[in-house]
Amino acid sequence: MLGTEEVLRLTVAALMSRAGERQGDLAAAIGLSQAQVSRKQSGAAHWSLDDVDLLAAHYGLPVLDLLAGPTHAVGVLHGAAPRLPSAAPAPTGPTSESTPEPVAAPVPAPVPAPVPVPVPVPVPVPVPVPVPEAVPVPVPEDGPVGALPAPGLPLGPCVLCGETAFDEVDGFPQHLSAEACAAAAAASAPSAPSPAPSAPEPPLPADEPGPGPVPVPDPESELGPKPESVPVAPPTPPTPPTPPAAPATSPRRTAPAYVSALLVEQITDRVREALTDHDGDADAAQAALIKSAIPDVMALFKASRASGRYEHSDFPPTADILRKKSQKGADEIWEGRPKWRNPAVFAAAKQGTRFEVTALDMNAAYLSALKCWLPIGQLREDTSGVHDPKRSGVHLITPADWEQPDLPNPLGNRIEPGPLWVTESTLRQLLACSRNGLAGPPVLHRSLVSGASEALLERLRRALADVRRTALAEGDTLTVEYVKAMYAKFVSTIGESSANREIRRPDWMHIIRAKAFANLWMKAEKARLAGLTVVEMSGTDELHVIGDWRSVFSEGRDLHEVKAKKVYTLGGK
Amino acid sequence: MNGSPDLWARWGSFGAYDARGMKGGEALILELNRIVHSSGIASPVTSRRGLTARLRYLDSGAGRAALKEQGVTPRTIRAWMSNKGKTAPTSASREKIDAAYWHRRRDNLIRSGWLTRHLDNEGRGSSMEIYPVDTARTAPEHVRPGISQRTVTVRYIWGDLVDAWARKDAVTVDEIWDDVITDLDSDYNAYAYVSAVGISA
Repeated sequence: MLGTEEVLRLTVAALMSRAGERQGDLAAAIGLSQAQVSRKQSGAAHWSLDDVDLLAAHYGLPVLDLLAGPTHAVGVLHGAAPRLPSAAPAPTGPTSESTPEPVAAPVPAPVPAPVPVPVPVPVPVPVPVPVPEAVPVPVPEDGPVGALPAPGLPLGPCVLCGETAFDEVDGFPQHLSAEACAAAAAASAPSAPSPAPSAPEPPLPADEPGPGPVPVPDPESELGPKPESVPVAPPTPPTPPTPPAAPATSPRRTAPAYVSALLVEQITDRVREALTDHDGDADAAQAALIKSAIPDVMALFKASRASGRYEHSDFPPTADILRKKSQKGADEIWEGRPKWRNPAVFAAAKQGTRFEVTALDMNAAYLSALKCWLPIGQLREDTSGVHDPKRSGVHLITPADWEQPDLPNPLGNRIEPGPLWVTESTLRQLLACSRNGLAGPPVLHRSLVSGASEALLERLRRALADVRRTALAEGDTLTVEYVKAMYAKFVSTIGESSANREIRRPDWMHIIRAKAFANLWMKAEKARLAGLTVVEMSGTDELHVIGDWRSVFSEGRDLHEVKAKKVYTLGGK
Repeated sequence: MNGSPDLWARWGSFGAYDARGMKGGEALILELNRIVHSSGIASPVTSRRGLTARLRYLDSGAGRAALKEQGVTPRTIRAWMSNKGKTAPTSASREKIDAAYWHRRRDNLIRSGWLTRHLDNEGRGSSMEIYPVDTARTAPEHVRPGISQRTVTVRYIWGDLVDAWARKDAVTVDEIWDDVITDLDSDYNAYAYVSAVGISA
């Protein structure tokens, strides 16, 4: 006995071959890719009800006929078999009324006659429903014992509209779309006396408390809408209600794509929880959230790595150069913090030239910098003197001289000569400079590296960035501040900080910071290439330029945008 | 303690082929020391704030005894304790105060049971990362292939471990290490010597 979906697959295959179509043709017609059609046909994916509508529209068949098996469908397509008396309106396709021939299929149907079921049967055909066709006994009285837990069970009142729902999300019974809620409310209002057979979905028995399992013999039988099974028994609508998952009007839900909804929820839930704990006092909630930012972001980080490819080390032995020399001292890594002023501009300003300077501020610089090449495991020594782009760590280099007068050195304001330890981010920036002819290549003496990935923090970064973007759009300062505390404290405590005992990666900390500085440097270079004059570059996120910066950067508060902090005049009398 | 009696012997003479590392028990001891030193007074003893805080911490019978153990005379101790913010001990004396402070703090963390509770984590244990011996200098034919870094959640040993560590009983710590790595797999013998151990605490 074939399931409805299996029958549909056979039907689609038969229709395709009759129409001389290939999977790619069908896919183009119904807005899928060939691969998706292939997966749906092979059973690796499911045909959704939306797809069924599209298929029916494409072939110009009523949905019921499409689901009635390959023989019947092909017969109807060629006019060799009568159409099922469909209550549902013909699909909103190019041809909805008479059975037309949308596709060139001159071959007459070879087996026209054997329609599997007599025509006037109210139940959709190929589905093996044990209900005797002549006696439309209400299905719930059929035998509630041992019924299958079909997906159409009423699970309780919808948390959104209060009507009976047949789906649940995260354990809460609810309708899956606003249309479904509206339909349920409409259905419950006249207490479902005679559901119009032309309703796109069968009415939900919302006035019923949902007594127990509705004994649907075959869980897939609900695929076929059964509009005509109602007329006899008003007290108990016998229709196993179709879950409102795919009302004909519901748009195709987009995939969550890049941002993990789980992580986003974890953040927003935490904000809501803090607000509830403090009775809506935003200031108190913000203080509490900032206080718990470190454990929160670590939990978030762990959740974001749950399905990650690489298992990173949390507590690798710390190399000597990464160890702080004293409680407040620094280790030997040079992060390349920028602190640079354009000497020519300042000299000219001293001579009396006036400059209109705009101080640009990079948004959430450390959040952007979470995307950087991070070593996965324990750092190991490498003295080959060659930079391996698949590895990351810290490097002892002798940098080449910097000869560009109007661009800062990516190394920051390092004055003392000789070899120094830099991070992966700085080294990559220096190598890029040497590729672009801005400077000579650095000499690599020694490296402490491990296999690297640029995606270790990517899910975390995307979730934080997404929440931040939403909160900014909604003017939700509390969430913005919370997100800021999370990424800032993550970066500052993943080293040898006693405030964060869940991870000890001073190498990551340095690499992320240096990446923020490198990102700022790249913005400076972009400004210069576009003809602006870079006046000053300092801190993590400050870039002062002369010229029309709006033609170079887009203004805003998102990660790829910049905002103008202030405009000031340099020089002049 | 279960485990194998000849865990160390099976390695032959460790380091003969230039593998770098230490016994797992030694790495455990280093890691426990690190955990103890990761808490406590943050300001250095060279600052006035850090010095005062340490002297206040040591202002007790046991604290004075700890200072005395460092070779500080009772008269000096009395002078320091009577005007804590104002004295300016020499750098050698500050070293002694710092050493006495850490001795006291270590004892107190053990005595109060904080360290055990912290590591035991209400029975949930602590996650431990085990880094295998460094074979970078070993000839390839002597390198055992496929020995990777391991992460295990370790439970139930922490009380015994902290006790043995407090008694400076290296033999028992070795036995406990044996116990830890027996949980790894049939290849646990490869982790008798390690390059480092990291405890998530």
